[in-house]
Amino acid sequence: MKSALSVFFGIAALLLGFLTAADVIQTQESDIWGGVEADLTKISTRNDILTLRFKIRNTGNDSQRVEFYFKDCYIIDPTNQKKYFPLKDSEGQYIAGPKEKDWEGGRYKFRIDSGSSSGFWVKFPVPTENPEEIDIHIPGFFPFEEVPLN
Amino acid sequence: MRVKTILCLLTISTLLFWSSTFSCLNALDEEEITIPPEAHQKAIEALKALGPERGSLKLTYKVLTIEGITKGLTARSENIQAALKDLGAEETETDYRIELPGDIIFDFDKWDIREDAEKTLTKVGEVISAYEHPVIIIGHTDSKGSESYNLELSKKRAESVKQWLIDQAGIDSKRIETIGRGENEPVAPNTNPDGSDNPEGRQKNRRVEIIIRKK
Repeated sequence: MKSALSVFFGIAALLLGFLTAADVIQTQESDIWGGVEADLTKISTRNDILTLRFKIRNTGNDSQRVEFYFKDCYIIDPTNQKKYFPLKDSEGQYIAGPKEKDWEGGRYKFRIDSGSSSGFWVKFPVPTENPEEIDIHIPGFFPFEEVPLN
Repeated sequence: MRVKTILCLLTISTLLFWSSTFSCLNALDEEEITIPPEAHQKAIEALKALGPERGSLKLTYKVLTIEGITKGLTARSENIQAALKDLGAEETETDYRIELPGDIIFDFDKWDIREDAEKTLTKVGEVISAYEHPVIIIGHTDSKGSESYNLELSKKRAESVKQWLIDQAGIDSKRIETIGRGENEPVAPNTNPDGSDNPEGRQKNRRVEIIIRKK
């Protein structure tokens, strides 16, 4: 009886820990919007295209207007010292979203109320040398460093 | 034996319940981020267009030797900060945004720059000169008059500000893009809820927005 219960609680604790910790690869605070944090929630690669998904959360007490241009996002391959920019379509629009305006290839600009969140995504080229880690720069947030690609 | 079996079944059903609960919560979060299905195909075409280096830039580092100009740089920076403060500029990581009341810059229904506006525009010119990156000037109007007329007026006003900055502040014309938004982006109501005129709201809507990119 005791051993069965021990097994039960052990497995339950492991599974709950795994499930609640899932889906956030790295979190960075904003360096300009108080209480705002960005979670890197998913990295996927297909056809040499890297798709990054983020969730911006407002943990502060005040509503915040979060705003940046997708053209100012970039990733760095620190091993090979190269910088890559978001992919852009034939009309000059960055393949990213959601966009509040199409200016300069696309702008993310949304008000996030206290306790709320909002997501965005960006497509980059996979760095040519296939590094194991990259750094990700999103304007208004501290860099996401040493993010594993594999 | 029976007790052990019941316990095992209880364990399995509990785990299944919690895992499905958390899956639902995660699915709700993922629903917030929707990537259009055509995005991947566009990305494939974009990647092809970049060539083998995929648009990468090699990072290089340059060491600058600065001798004897530190004081000058500090003084210049302080002047720019003072100008930004006077202009009521809003700063983001990537740009400065200045909103100039239309009534200061232009007479009613006109697009020539008023003489009174030159002091304000001189400060705008100083800030723009401190950076090398693009500038966007956006003209806005209130809703009095036809939409097409207001659109044209706002474009002319943005162009006037641009021309002033080129002629008087020596700004390179290639840096400046002008846009007319007419009455389409009000920041205040043009009319009251009962339909009557709202002069104060309309005054706020008559404005010129200047976005100065920092990088």
